[in-house]
Amino acid sequence: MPVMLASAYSPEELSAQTEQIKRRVDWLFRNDGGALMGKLHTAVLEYRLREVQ
Amino acid sequence: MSHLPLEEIVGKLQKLPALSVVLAELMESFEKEDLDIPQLASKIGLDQGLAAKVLRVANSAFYGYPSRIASIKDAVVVLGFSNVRSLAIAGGVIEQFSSAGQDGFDRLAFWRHSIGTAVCAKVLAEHTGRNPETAFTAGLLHDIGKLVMDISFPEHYDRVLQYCAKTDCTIGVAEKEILGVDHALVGYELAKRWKFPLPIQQAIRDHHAPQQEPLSDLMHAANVLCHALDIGNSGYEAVPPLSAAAWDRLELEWQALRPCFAEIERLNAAASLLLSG
Repeated sequence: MPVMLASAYSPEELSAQTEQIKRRVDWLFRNDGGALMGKLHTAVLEYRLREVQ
Repeated sequence: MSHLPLEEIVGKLQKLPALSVVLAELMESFEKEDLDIPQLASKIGLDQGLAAKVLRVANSAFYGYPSRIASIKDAVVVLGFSNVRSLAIAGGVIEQFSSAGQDGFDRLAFWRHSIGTAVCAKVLAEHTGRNPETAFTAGLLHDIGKLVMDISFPEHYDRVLQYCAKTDCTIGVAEKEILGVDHALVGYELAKRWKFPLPIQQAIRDHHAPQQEPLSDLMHAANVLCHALDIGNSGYEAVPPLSAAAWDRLELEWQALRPCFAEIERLNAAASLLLSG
């Protein structure tokens, strides 16, 4: 997923995206307390970081 | 718009074209012990479009063979029949659904997700001592119910996608809300009609709620992993929750999962060649 600067979005888009992220974090933690999914996302993130290094 | 009765959906399934003869035979062959491999290979070879797709993947950098594989017969010798069969089934099913299309549901992204899940399933199967080729085929077909619903009830399915985007729920939740049934159940009905092997039928039905069947557990984890790796898009962006019980039953340590990622991305690049041409 491409990383874009916040300034590339309009205030409305930024607000909508912030709300979406909030919902997703809330949804993630509601499902399993975040533990298992947290591990999965961490593993993927570590892999991606190693790729760009 | 009211919910759709399952009978109406099953009725629509009856009107879908039957699985092609070659594909039906290849699916049947999962459950046979005395396979006539040369005969099956020659049937794949007779379908030029299908053979070309299989050979494109067989000749990709992933397999890295020094000389060009020119025929299905050669591919069977070099890659093994199981590998060729799963690639042929994948190419054939994608072809079978290639003509129908609606604006709302992104078919290319859908197949990218399906191939990605197939690859995740194959790699996880290899690392957990399960059958990688059955896993690949089940992975490719796990979301087939979405495609069937989009083809059969396009207006309803547009509403599902809109509901999903608006509320940021998983697509299964949106399908139950709008249609009354989800893609897992519809996919299972199609798998029964097309006489897929039983473990594949169950894996399609249970991939969001695995019921202690080894292939269902694997499919569940592969689907979540494919979402987490952001490969393709099956109608929504969120990563569905991973069942702790299913993950435990796979008996795969987190440390052992990490080396799978690069393997998945390499194989996925090769398998995605099934979508070109």
